[in-house]
Amino acid sequence: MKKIDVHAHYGLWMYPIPVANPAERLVRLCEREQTQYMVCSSALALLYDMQAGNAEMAEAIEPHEQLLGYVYVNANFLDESVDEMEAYLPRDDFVGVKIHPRLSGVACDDPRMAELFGEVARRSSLLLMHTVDRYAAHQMAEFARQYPQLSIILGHSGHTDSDEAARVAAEMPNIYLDFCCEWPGAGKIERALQICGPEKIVFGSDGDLLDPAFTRGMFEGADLTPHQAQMIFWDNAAALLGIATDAANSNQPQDIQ
Amino acid sequence: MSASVGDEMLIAINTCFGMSPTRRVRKAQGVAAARMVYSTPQLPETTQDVDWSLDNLLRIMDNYGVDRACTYSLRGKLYEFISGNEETWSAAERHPRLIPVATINPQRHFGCLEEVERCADSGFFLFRFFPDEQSWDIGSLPFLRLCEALAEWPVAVMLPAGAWGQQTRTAELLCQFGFPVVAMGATFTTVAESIAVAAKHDNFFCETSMMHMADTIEGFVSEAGADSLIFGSDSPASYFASAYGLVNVARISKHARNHIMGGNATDYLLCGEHL
Repeated sequence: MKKIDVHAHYGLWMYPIPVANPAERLVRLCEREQTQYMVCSSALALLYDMQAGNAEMAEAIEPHEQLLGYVYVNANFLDESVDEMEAYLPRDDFVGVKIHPRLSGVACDDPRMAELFGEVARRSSLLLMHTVDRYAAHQMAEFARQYPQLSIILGHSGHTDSDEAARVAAEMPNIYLDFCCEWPGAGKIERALQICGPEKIVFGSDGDLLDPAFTRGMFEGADLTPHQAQMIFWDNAAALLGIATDAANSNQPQDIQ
Repeated sequence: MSASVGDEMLIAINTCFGMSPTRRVRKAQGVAAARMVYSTPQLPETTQDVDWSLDNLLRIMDNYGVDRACTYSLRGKLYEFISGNEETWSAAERHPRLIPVATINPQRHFGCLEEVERCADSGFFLFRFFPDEQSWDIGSLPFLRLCEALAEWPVAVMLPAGAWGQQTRTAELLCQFGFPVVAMGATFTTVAESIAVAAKHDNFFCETSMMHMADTIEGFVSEAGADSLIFGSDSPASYFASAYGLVNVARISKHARNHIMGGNATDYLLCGEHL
């Protein structure tokens, strides 16, 4: 089944993933998973150097039409983050912004995060926010109310607080969920479908930090209807990214794989 | 989706059944403790309900074509191991697709060595321990005495991979006893140690359910060999298809995949019994 993967990373990790060209690995994973578009943020930017990471990723994804980018921004460096958004968001292959509160050490309710959100909302219509607990999910609801034109994907869907994240998504029209998570807790997708419906769920794999097959398995286990799968794997993300959902891209009912 | 692996058996070595007073997975609670806001709003607790029932485990096995599941009753881990082991044995008698896994908590002292003998004598081949969740140490004399007793029987021992360093210590302490030792749940930060320890010790094996980074299974196979990996799903707590997908998509030979999916469990843990 064709997919749009809204949560991936470009770069290297200090985990036992065999060293290889990161872009080539992502493209290979896209082909294996029938992923038409994979939206990445830079691991280098997340973990060490925002500017070098964004630059490295921009150069790496440019030759690959499957790979799209999030500009990574960091509330510790507001001016520099603005510069990064100004530099990359005009590009066709950058579709939004990524924020990681924990790795930047700036909590969701820190005033610096509020400032950053304001700058993001002025420049982007899409934000992927690393969100691993219910408190952060509710803080995102506050930002979503403040900036209704900004669509916010709660990356990881609050981790084990995903039911509460789903309630937030049900309440806020501009909040969406992606379920990549190292803990594939059985039942959480089914419950989210009941709470917020398939229209608020997008597919994000966390590749290559997680193998996309691992995240895909959660949805296989949820026994989606063809309609739900179509929305989750393509339609919802296509709308967020401005990608056409025409007949050629429409999936036929079939196995998720 | 059928998870058939052709002419080999599909065996999931990491399953359980029963119930839990917290209704959710203990490890998940720990992960969720990493807060991302400074204030602490008064919000209702959320739950991640898990259907721990034996019926659900059997349904998962049916759905995915699992031939055998090595399983234990949560009663034995969370409450009392003798009645838990009896419950496990009873379930396996009623459902021959289940391979019973015994558990003992050395903190109780009384009855522990007797339980080794009772279980091994009655036909348990697998013993699983939970030092991390039960707060005891694998280097403690009570546990090592259990291991001495276990070494008298044709059994295998399953333990958590734990934090960095724990697999090395587990192998140093336990591999000398000669029985197979299986590290369960190695993940991001500990698979590197899994590879090194498995490459060094012939009787050290690693369960796959949390090896979820891209290409890690094939990396493990190339470094330590497919014979050291054994498929586990963490059912019913986790989605079966997630763990299955990791092994299924790995760029390894069919022979290697079959060994991971069931052959190694058959050859090294079960000695052909229960099959």
